[in-house]
Amino acid sequence: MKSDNLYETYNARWKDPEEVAKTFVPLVHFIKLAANDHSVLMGPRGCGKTTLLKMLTRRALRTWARSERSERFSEDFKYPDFEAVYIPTDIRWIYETNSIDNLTIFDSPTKKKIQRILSTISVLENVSNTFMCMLEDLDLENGKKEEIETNYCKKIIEVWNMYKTIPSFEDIKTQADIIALETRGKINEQNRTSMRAYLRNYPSSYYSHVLDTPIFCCKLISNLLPREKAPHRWGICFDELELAPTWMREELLTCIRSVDPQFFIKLTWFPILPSAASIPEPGHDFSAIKLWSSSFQEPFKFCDKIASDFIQERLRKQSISLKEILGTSLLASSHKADDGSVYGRGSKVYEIIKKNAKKDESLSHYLRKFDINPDDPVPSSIREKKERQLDQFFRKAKPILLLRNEVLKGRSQARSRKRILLYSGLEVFYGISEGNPRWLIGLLTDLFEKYRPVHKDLRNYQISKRTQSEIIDSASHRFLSLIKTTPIVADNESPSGYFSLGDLVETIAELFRASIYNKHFNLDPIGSIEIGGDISNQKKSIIMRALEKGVFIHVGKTEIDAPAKITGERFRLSFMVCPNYHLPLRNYRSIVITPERIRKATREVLRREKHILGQLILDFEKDEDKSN
Amino acid sequence: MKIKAINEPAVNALWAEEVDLFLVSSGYESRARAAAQHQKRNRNSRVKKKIVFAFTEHRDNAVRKKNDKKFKEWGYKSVLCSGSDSRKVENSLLEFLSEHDNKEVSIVVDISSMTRTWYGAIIRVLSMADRKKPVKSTFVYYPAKWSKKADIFAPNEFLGPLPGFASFSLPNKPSSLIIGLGRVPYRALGLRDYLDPQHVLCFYSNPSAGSKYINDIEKANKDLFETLKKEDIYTYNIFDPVASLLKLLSICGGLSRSYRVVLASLGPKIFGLLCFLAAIEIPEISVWRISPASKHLPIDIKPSANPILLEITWST
Repeated sequence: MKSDNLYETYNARWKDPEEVAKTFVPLVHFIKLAANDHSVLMGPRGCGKTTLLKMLTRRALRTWARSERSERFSEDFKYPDFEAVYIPTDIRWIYETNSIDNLTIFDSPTKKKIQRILSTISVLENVSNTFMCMLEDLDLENGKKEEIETNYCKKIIEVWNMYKTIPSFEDIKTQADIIALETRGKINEQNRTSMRAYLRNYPSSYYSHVLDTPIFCCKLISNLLPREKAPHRWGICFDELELAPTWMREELLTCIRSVDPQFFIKLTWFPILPSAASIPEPGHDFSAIKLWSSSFQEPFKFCDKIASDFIQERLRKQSISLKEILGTSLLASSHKADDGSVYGRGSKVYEIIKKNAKKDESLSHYLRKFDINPDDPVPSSIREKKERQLDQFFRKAKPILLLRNEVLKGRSQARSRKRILLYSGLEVFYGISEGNPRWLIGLLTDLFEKYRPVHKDLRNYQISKRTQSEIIDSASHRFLSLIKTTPIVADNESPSGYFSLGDLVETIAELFRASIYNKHFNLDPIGSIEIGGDISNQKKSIIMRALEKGVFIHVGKTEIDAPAKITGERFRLSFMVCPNYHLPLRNYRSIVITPERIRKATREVLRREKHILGQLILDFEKDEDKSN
Repeated sequence: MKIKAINEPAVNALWAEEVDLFLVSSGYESRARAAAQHQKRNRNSRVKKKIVFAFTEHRDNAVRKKNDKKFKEWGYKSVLCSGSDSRKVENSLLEFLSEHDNKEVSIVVDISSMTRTWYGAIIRVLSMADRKKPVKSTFVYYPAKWSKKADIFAPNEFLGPLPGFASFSLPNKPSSLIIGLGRVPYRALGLRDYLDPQHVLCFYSNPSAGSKYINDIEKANKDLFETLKKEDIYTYNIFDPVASLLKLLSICGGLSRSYRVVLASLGPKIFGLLCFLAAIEIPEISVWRISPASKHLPIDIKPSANPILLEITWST
């Protein structure tokens, strides 16, 4: 059966708000977003930004209020105190609007005017949709709704100089489509004079500030409604703003400080905070809501909710948890569950440590350092000492030891990539999903294609580790395939003549791999990067794409920490990449990556001289020690 | 002008009548001169004006130098232009049309080695021209002779709507992406990932210019096929462009009711031509491109034996 792509299964962009509400799993992010302030939702694609914005709308809230989910999730939900106006967009619209910048026949002011017209009519159309729904819901006396619609639309037709038509919401929307059609025709004529004449037909209301149109429309409808029915506050929600034309982004961000207090701006953004002297400050002028997880376990609570919701939908009345189906992971068990019993005598980890301590001087050195007997490597029976050993050695060492045991299998160098069964278990599925609803539901969908309980007694039914690791492997492979497709930028400094996300990820992953699968055991391998040096704008654009796709994940000092720039910040690779390179699912220390270092390392990777990477890492670290 | 008639003339009829303008391109592919050679060999052919659009890129390539030399020998007027810039192509055609405004003209365009930007521009100029007399345009395409080298992956560099083929339709309906598949892995997947459409549909040529092509396409797009339903994978006959165009128009027309359609051609250029024609007929359709890195190694492509012809008659 053709299964849905990892990325497509749960794409809220084209779902109606009602559909979104039927499957919504709220978290604390929604409560923050529904608050009476300006918000910037930050995160990679698929992390739920569109879902959250759509949930603010009347249509979604109406469906939510009537569903049993509203009771089930009542503690994590908050109804907003404002009327939300959702302004949708998509990549195609943004690209095509931005492509106007490339039309050499027109000058810059003309191009901007064209973009403004298109943006204004899109807003007018979506505002009409919001008000149609609002009027439907409101309990007004006979004929009042039609009167309000008529008066509103008459004013819009007048202010925006539309063709004299029936003053109805549907006709406003039709007018918007006609204007888009006419504008397209004028663009295709590629005639400067004709375009100037065309643009003169449009009054200045089309060229005003990007917020002027929605604010005017909201105030207009408020004035037409009976006072007790009119919304007192509005939330203007701009989706995919991070891809919008620069002028639009700047206008929206800079006006946050000064916008009418009746209006809240809700935006989506990259995983990097907007920054410039004129841009408002997070925490003061707006709340930055971060939708990614820096650490492996951060998203587990959310994943649990999504998973149990998913299972309930799939299995209806049957009750089984995902943990029962998948089992726990030896590679990536949570700290809470790791009480030390997994390191007991006779356990797999115990045997691995004992065997390798005999031949690896580095490992036995670490054991002695933490007061662990290499011949009997169990945690101490003294509680405090045991906690220290668990925290400083066993938990850090376990994934490295397990992977080295599997991948090296007595050799001095890591084998070429093949599937290993360690990437299985509940925690692995949650962790590699990064808490991204789209990814997690994609994985669960793949899982449930394999899950066919044949017995009524479900308690003893599990999906085998082999099957689980196949699913993980396949998802990781697909993710990497998509990374390779990301458009590159020309770069004379790079060995291949271009700078690509695919090469960058492969180089960084191979550096991490070289650190893990070194000849000698290393308790503190490299597992994250800090971007340093003078990064060109082209390289920055590739790194931004990495963040936007969720390939690089910012590792903040705290859970709410969000970066304001690329350089000087710590990033790790998405855990979704790790199975392909046999990397552990944990944060490890960082190494500074400069363009020069990337160039050197990429050269060795492209030449397939990966064994040199270990030495390169030592050289980089020596340079850092010298400069410190 | 609008499309008034579509026809598939026989190859031996191509040079039977006088041709007012013959447009070709000179690049690093041997097939760039195949149509010109065919014309040269035909003793009865009468071509009044011949223009070769020569790429500014890869001018030192050996095959390119041979092409340039031949075109010069055969009396072509050379116009140097970048593959991603269609202005000189448009201007050359506009100038010609303006000089022959009161006359019915016949144009032959060899798209075999042209970029989509160039032949898209030619289609656009013809569709926007306001003329008293019709234009008969015959598009010639020599499919590539199969070669293993051509499936080497050069990463994607350019992505976006082709100039003049962005529909700017408002984002009030979901997008449907229709891709004409090629042999290079990850290209289609990359476009799909970037555009993030709600619906995807694929076309690939079967029958093709060789069964090896079909195997290559299916192998290169295996990841993509795994995510699609069977009913969203179509084939078209590369040797029957009229039937293929009608199929494409039918599907686009149906989808346009509920979707904003984007067409992208990653495989044979004849499908690219059909995409442009479909976009002319249904203006709400956008045509996008995703192209390989400009610094990728040029690979010589030889022509297969028989060209494919598509004749479009335009009139106001």
